[in-house]
Amino acid sequence: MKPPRFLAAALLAAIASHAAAADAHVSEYWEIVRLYARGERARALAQVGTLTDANVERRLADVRDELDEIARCPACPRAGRLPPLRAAVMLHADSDELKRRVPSAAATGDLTFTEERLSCPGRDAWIAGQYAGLLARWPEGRDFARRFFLSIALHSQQAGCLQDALRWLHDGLRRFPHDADLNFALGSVLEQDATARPVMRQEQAFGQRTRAFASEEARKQRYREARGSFTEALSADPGSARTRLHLGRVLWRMGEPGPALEQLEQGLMGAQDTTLRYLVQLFIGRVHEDAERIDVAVAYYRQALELEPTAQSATIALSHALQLAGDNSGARQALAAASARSPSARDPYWSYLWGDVPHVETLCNRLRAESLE
Amino acid sequence: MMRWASTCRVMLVLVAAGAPVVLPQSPPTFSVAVETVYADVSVSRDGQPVSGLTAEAFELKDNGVRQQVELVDAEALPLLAVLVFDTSRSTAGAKLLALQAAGSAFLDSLRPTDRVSLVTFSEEIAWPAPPTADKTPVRAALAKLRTGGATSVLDALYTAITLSDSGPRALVALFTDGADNMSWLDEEQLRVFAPRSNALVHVVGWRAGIDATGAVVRPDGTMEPVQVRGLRGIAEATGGRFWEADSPDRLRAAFTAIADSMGHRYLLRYEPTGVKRDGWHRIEVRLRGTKANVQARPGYWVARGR
Repeated sequence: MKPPRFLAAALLAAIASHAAAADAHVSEYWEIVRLYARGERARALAQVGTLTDANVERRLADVRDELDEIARCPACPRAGRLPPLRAAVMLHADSDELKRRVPSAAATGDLTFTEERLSCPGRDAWIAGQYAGLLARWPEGRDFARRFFLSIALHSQQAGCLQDALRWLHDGLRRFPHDADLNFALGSVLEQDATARPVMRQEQAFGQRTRAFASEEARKQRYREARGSFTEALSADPGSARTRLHLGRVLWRMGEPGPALEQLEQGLMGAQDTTLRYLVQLFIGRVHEDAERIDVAVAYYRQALELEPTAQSATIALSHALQLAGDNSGARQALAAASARSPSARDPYWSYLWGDVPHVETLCNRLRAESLE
Repeated sequence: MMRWASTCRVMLVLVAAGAPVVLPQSPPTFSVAVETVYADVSVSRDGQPVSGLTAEAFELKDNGVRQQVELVDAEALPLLAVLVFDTSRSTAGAKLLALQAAGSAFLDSLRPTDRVSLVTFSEEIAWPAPPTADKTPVRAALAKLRTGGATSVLDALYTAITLSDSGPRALVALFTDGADNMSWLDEEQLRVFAPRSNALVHVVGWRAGIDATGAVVRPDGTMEPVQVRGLRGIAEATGGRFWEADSPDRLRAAFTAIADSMGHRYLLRYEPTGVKRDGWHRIEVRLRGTKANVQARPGYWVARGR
């Protein structure tokens, strides 16, 4: 028995309606992305929030399918241009950042580098990462994608989301295994994580020693991994004084003062900017202090203070070293002199573990600029 | 059974000119009447201070060698108290108000001749009130406290101890609610440094989960947070104590008790004899014929060549 004509017509109409709706979703989504690509960032961000997750994921799948098709047959004619993927990356990255801002009333603790509390990257960051991964398949998109993975990892690090930072970096390094910046960033996150882990104490009660021992082993493992990442970064960029600074500090924390000094001194020779030279002097001083070469340590701390006269860490380091040298009066004078100075600028040591702060904002702004068409 | 804690807070005071006598065949020792050591001791029983003890009640050993002690009137030696307050972002709001009230109560408990100073810290250490016997500017500085930033508790503690170390009697009372995430110095450095100073260090930590007796109720019943252990160790190494507070009332009570305790201490004075001069001196103090808790720092340090 044939179905009634009206049912067939209704079915066809439904199919056509669904297809039209899907087309509308497609065009709606890419219109928002193009808004962003034209520089209408605020409007685009307002509108992308109205899209359903299903719509967004479907568009991502469409692009993936299209790129797979192009990869299978590069010479085949294509219906049109590729959509603006860079803009898609940055639209979702910016959307994610907006959603991560936590109201100050809900802020607790002070575990992040930034004054503003940010939660860890979420779904929109994942979408951005997926587009970046697709971009990385193409020569003209690889460097943009590489820098995106670096920027989202640094943002995660500065928000205190170290596990997220590690995931982003591993994702990036899967595509760019020998990249100096990504390897350096990975080493930096590992170093930060290791430094934040508690150190086991011998006098702990027996019942606590197992947990403390496990924590200590995890800390040491992180330092070993950090050493590996920094070493890889150096092999790609042997002239990086910044990498030698971090590698030197990691080696010192691992109880290898000789190799630590070697890296730090090479870093000092190559360091051009004041901040880097300050940090290197500080760390070299500490290695000498630990080896009870107090006079040498004092000299390095004084040099660090000459570079950053208001830096609190160098002041404390110098004062403490003078105490060790038996110069209690000098130790007090160092602190008193510091307190008499005008309010200090930010001590570069305070941001040392939190990633390269000025760099990440410059990085993001460049990515945004390059996503415009 | 009551335990006999035998640690001692010591102040080393060089009172006479002239180099100490050095015997050519043995390590340098103190010479009589050249240097004097002050031992700041608290004695309590059932949580209450014990008063009325004489010098004869105390037995003191310096590196195992018994010393002849005399009792000094604590009123004769001025106290310098340094309040060290955490003003990082996490202390905003009600916690800051409670801290200001506790600081004010501390000032109320001091004697008119006691000097007091205020140090504050987030990642940056500030000294809004230098030492003064006039409590007014310190109260004013307390009222102006603002919060924000990260936490450099170890560097702040070092700063306070060092700045307080020029006087014969120094008390450092520190408040913090969080883990250190910015300091240059680490815990081990403070554990070595603090007992070598003259300062008596008390630390008040803001922690949740305290029962009616003030004991900490920990989720797993065993492990104390690492940062608390570290600060406790530093305080106890100077003869002080770690106090835990989870409410404005407990915070105020802790600071009041710290100030009050300074008025119930005994100052023992002696001129070390028969002991090597340089380096660490282990001090043991016990009471003769009386049962009580004796508390002070474990010893003092003499730098080589001083």
